[in-house]
Amino acid sequence: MNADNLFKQLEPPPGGAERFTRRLDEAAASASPAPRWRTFALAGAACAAVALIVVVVLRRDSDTPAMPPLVADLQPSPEIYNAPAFDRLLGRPAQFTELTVSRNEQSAAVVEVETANAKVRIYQIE
Amino acid sequence: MTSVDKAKWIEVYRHLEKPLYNVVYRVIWDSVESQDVVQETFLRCWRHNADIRADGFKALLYRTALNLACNRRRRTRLWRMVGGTALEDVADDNAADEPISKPVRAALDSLPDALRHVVLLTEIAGMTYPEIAAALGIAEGTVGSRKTRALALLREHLEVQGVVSHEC
Repeated sequence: MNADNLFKQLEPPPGGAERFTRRLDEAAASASPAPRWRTFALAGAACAAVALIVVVVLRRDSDTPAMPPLVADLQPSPEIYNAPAFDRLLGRPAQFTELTVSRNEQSAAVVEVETANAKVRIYQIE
Repeated sequence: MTSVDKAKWIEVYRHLEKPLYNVVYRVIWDSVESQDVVQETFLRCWRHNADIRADGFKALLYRTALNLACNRRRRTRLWRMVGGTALEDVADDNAADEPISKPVRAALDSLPDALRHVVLLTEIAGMTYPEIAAALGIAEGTVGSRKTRALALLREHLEVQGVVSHEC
């Protein structure tokens, strides 16, 4: 036994060409190559479908109700903006306001007591 | 298909059937199946006739044949696994009629596909390195290195089996 037969040329079974001719005839008979217009029609239909999807998606987006405005976009009313309570918050110098005190639903007299610190105010209710 | 086209394809088939058959046979080891694969190869190429360049036809033919043969072998192995030993027994019964001895076949089967394809295309089909490079989609240098490696592995395998001796 040797390795020569590894590369020896073998004869194919007889009648191969005749069988191939038959198969070729069958394939030619059954083959109905798609006409060119059909290829273009398919490609056109695919493009139209994609365009339709895009239009539907865009229209749906435009129908969505508008988002409420952001807090930053809101303009405060001048009454609120000018209220003394917001002086410190907005960095404005504090305004002097008259102090009123009520006791038992009646206004009470208030006397300011002098202090060494100008930023500190002490009142005495009489 | 015109009669001229048909005659041309049959002529090319007659011319290339034998080398293709010999390559395919050494992948699937069945004469009838191999001839069927060769014919299927030609039919596929005929269906894509319009896309085939004349200078790449041979490469395309062998690449298609090898792909079909590998698929067929994979499918046969799968069926053998599913069907148990029935087909193996049939193969053993026909072993005496096989044109290539079992140890030699085993040596070739032991090669990875990448190496086996190169050795089949160089030694059986007699293709040049550029042709093989085009058929397998690899560099020409790779063809040479794969062939050297494949032949070394074959020799090693056959020596272990006692088919060839060290002196050869």
